[in-house]
Amino acid sequence: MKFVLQGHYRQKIFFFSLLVTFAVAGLQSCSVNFVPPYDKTLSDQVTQLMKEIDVFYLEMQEYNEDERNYERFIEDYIQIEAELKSLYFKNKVRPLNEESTENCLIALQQWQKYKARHKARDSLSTANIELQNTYMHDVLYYILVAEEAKKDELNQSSKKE
Amino acid sequence: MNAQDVLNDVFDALKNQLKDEYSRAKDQIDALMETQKNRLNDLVEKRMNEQISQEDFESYLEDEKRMMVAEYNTVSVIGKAAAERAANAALDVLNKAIDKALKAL
Repeated sequence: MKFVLQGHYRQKIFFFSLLVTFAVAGLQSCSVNFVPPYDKTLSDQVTQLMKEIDVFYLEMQEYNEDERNYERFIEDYIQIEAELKSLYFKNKVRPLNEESTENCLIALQQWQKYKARHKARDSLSTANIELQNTYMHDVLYYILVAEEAKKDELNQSSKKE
Repeated sequence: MNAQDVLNDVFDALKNQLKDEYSRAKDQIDALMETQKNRLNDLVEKRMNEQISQEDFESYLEDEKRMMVAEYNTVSVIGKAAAERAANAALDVLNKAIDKALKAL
């Protein structure tokens, strides 16, 4: 009888230890994710786009208003639109990334709207160039800040150690 | 160390992390607001000086609505990322405390 009770007791301890082991193992692998991990290549692409758009509008400003015909800038318009599309799709395929994806879509649609305006008028005033440059810069800045916010310095430094 | 001590450590970790996150988020959100303020200032000034037409002004106000959505999206990401870091810091403390308690048995 005594032997049976001891066996039963041992069995309980065994199952309890097993439960604790699983709980600890579970906790060790447990982390919550509300946003995708930081992606430096995306941050770099946004920074590069900000620069390209700035150069595009600064160059446009160098021409007199009557020389700013759409045809002169069409290649750059297409090049930048393709890069904005690429940024949008790269964001779209990442899980937990709805906000950044929507911001990339806003940037793309804004660019297409400004391109259409230039095409319709076949010129652009200096005030419009400055404003369009600011609106494009700021929406890309919002995308950049959102990406940089995903950085986890604590985990990154602990990975280096 | 009992369960209450462990939980106190977890909540302290959560509190400290949230304090750091709050100050970091506040700086980021202030910078976002500053860009919006400067942009609107520039837009109004250009309309007042008649550098842009009423039609263009209204078109930029439409853009401004979308910019506010983008700004809100960015603030949302900042908040989610901060909450993620705080929760993971608390889980890390809990994990280490249980590990330590088990080794002491």
